[in-house]
Amino acid sequence: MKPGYKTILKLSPLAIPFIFIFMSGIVLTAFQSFGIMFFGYNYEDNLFAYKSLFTEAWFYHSFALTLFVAISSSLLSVICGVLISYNIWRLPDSLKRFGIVAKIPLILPHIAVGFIVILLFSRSGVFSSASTALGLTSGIEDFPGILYSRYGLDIILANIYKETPFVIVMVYAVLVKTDNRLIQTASMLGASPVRIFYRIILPALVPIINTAFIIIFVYNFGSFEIPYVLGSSKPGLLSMRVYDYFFMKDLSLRPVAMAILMVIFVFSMSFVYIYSRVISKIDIRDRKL
Amino acid sequence: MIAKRFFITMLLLFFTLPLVVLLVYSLAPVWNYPDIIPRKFSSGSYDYIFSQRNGILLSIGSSFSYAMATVIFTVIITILPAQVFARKKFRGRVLIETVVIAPALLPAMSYAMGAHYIFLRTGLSDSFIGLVLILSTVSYPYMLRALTAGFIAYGEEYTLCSKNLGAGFFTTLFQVELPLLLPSIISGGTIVFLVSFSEYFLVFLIGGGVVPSYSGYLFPFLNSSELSIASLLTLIFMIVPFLLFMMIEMFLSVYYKKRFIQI
Repeated sequence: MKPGYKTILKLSPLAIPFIFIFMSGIVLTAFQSFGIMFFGYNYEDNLFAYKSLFTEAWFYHSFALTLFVAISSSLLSVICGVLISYNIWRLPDSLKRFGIVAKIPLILPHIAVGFIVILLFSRSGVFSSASTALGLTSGIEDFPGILYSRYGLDIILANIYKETPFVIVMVYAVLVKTDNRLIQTASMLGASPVRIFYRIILPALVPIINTAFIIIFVYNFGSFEIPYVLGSSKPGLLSMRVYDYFFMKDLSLRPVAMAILMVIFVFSMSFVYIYSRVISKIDIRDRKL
Repeated sequence: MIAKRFFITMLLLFFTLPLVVLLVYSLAPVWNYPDIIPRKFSSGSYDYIFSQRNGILLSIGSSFSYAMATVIFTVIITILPAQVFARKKFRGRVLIETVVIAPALLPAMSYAMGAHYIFLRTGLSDSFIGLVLILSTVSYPYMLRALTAGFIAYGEEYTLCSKNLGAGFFTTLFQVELPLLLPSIISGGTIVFLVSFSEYFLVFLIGGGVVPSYSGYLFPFLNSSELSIASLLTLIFMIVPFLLFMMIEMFLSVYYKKRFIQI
């Protein structure tokens, strides 16, 4: 059935954010990456931004690092989130209220989480002092350089702390709906907790795990605030280079920032599309069996 | 049982340790390696914050206002679309429903920087309205999903009844639908508020420092050597949403009690 004019009228408020800001914004970003509609500047070569990106080694390094940080933070957040929510769910009802502490990072802003990682993990930070007191390290130099590392370890840690609760909330909502009789039957038949987890719980969680992974991955891939607070070394994440080209360099170089943004956008969109296509294919195949 | 105790201990440690560290730092102006416990405690950062209370309150007030304005604006623009998605069947519904959540899913930076140019040209940049618009774009999908779920949850009968009894469009909306949707508005509003209140980059890009914000006030301290003040300011950052949620809880319990007694 075709939508009637009333339906379209009722949907129309969404045009303000979706068409006037989101769509126009991305079209403008695309235009400016080609040097069009850009403060009256005229570029002879409309592809100059992309050419200068794709011929530079730092761009590939930065892309690889961004991908690595996004994948490892998302994977670890999902793993931590699933394990923690499963264990909270298994607690007796009287102890479940302790689970509320897992929501603390949800109300912490990203910039605050980045700051906490600096306090805890810097070479003169809390963990370094603790490890010296325990005799594990003998001085500041002994403590591993987690901050400003080439692999973005500090960013990964901050991402995990911020995003694990998100996974916990999503996974817990599914766990609550799980039929307890399944688990009781399995354990009466002699299945160990580990076996129950792998054979009953995990399969039930697969759809929500996929959703959570997509959301977190795409967020991490384009995230700005945590790497900005932590001030990673060069080349750093793609978003840091965007900031560099947008604010720090000559105005005429801004199309390069826009070109990096287009790379981030197109990559994120293709990731969401391909990932959801693949899981829906697997889903159909599983049902046929 | 030992395993459960161990799990709870680890859970508490993992999630509250950062807060404890912030609290200790706020009380210790000098906490140097390798001291596990600071050698000296002082209320220096508290005194400093107190002396700066006007600026801090102004920035918190401003952040609170644009975050609240964003919540209200997202309710206004998503309530009718949510009703359509929950009640109407038409060709392309699933596609539209999926596509319109894109602004929350895809990196905000990628379209916000393009939108920045539009805002510059239309005079919306460096303004409160512009800021609310960009924050709404990032966060309206959460409200839309929450309200759609809310409309699905209570069914169409209430609306039909109200219409049968002769209520008009707005009476139905304000007297019947909005009260029933209150839990959904609160759950969606919580996320929208948190996203807007804690956002730094978009506020900096579109607000341009003209619209005061607490995240903008805090940021320079995070990169300074004033760890003690930065820690205290970070703790304050958490208090605002925390107080707000407590107040909502209290309001709701009173609200539902009243309604229950009336029935």
